[in-house]
Amino acid sequence: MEDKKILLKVDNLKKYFPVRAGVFKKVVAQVKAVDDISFDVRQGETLGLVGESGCGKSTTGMSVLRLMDPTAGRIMLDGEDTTTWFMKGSQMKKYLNDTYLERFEKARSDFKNQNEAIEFFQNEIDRKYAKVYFEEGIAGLKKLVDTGNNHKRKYFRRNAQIIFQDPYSSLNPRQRIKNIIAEGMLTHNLIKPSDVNNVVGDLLDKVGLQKDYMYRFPHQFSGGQRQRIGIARALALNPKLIVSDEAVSALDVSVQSQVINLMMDIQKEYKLTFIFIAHDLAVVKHISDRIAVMYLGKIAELTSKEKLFEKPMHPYTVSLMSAIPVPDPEVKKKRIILKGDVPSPLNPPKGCRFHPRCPIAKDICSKIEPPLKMIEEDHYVSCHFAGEFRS
Amino acid sequence: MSDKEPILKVKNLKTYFKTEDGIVKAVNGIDFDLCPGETLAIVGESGSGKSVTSLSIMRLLDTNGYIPEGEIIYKGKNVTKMSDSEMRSVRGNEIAMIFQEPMTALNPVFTIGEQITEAITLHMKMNEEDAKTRAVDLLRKVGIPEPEKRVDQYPHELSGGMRQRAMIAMALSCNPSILIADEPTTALDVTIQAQILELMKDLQKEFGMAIIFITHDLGVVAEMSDRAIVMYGGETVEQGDIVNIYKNPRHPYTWGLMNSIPRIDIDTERLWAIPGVVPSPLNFPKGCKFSNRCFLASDKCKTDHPGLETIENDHFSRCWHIDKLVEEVKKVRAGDK
Repeated sequence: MEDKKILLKVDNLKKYFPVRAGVFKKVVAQVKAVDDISFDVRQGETLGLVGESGCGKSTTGMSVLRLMDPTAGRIMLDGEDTTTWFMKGSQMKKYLNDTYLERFEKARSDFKNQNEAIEFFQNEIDRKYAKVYFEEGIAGLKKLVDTGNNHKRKYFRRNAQIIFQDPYSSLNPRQRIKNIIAEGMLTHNLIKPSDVNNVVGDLLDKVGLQKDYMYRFPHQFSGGQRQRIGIARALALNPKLIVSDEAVSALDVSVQSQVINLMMDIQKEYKLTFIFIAHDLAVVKHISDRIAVMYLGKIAELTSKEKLFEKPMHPYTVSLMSAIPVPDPEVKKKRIILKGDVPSPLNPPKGCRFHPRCPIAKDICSKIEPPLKMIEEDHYVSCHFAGEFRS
Repeated sequence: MSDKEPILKVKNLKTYFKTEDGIVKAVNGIDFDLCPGETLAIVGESGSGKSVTSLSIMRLLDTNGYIPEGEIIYKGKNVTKMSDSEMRSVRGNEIAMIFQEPMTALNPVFTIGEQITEAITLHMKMNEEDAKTRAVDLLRKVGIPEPEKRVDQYPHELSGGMRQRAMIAMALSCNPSILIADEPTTALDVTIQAQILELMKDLQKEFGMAIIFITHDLGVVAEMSDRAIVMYGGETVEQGDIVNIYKNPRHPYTWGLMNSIPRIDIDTERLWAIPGVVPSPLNFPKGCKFSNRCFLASDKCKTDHPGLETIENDHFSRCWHIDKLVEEVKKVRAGDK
């Protein structure tokens, strides 16, 4: 797993929603839905994002896919900084300044030799941009990031796809399945119009539907079948990354297992990389390689699924696991019942966001926010007392 | 359990709905007894008839719904034959219900207090002031902080978990002997669900009411109930003690359900998938209703409708191949590996 290439790298992602009030719609507060999170997704793996409602897991998915504009942060897909692809003029200038130029200037003054300064950066993109900046200045860097953005955006859209939660509202009711699935491929000139029937037929076959269903409309399908259509639509463009946002939550148990099996099969076959967002920890555990547990806009714990379940270190993870009822009547587990509700992201608690509900909170927790630290190999926890709380 | 006198007996209950497309047999013959202080779970997927069963007991069916056959005997009286006014004195008073979505089940234009005191003044003949004191006590009992303040708040001012607590307080306001909980925690987050389940268990210990717990979540069922009924297509397919149902399922549908859920305590390579989907209620196969999705189905299953057979004391299954299941499951498992 370790030597696997990183497909998606997210740095310091923030997404704030302004709250407006009054006659002039002045911004009176910010809902910090996602507040400074960083994570990597490796090629071919499934990263599970799990948490309760309002923890920011869906906002993270939407921001990564640029279905929402992030407030801040850098999103890198397959060795390229995609953040600027969706930016214009002053916004891009500010972004370049904040993300790169300050660090570049510092490196330049720290090192005498330009090459040493470039070597100082670990990240490939940093190096590439630093080289251009040192050689051609700000104008050169701007030219580099600001050319061909239409083309770049198209590339991004083709390679980052989504499967939505609600299969009823995510398929256009006025279009036949054939058009729903083929639209993307035609837009991106991946197939000729004359091949549509064949290609769509094969895709339907792949997701376990009959080929002649392509002439039907969405209302003629059950929830599970619609979700299969959603999967076929995401697969059609042969993307590098698929974000699945609560894709199986609305389904009945028997259908849910069919769709989970299907997703795991196609992942193996197409070597896809998944971000699997769900609130159901059991489902996330089943499907993911690594899991990020989120709480109130922050990552509480991030590690491989084996480590997370064998040795959860964040008190929130421990409590969350103990709160899940186990389908075995002979197991009577002692549960940790958290007090109170999840606070509103409009007014998150100071210090550690979990401290008002945390069973082991101490003074420091209400004052200093714990950063996401590496506790052991590939195991990140944001807690001052990581590992001290056990169920 | 069986030495107690059941407080509720449901015998061969059938609930049908008249629709444009024909008569929908939402519940087609279910039987169970409920003893004081026990928890009975009704498990099933959407369209299995679990919610309709509870609405039939409460006589809250839509106008196109009717009960053509069967009896619901509560404390010796047949609920289906009660007059409307008799029913009103039972509903909310002796049999209370909590619903899945607390926001739609609470009236948004009345305060929490007004909604709780309504039932108290109606059934317990208390004056307004005493009723309000009782409402505050109840809110405290269900773990709502600052009940004196909350009692005057409107539903939208409360979080989802708080609303569900308020609804439980309302249901408990007249000390019911039966509480029907229809997916009470489905809309809640797991940490809040854990709070509510714990609360329900504590309150059951304290008040001794019987609970009918309707859910699709097999984890919650295992945690909460003493006995379970598994429903499919409006029928009981398996019924029995909770340990039997989980450890020794004797209906292919029950077995399939148990094996199709991912679990946090056990690693599974691949989930079992029950093929197909639940058919529309007008299109269930003849014979066994599960036959078109069943891995054990034979010709007989497709033509003859199986009866509910006794496997052992208090454990029933509706399947022609009760004996074959155990063997076949072993084969399936072996094939998996």
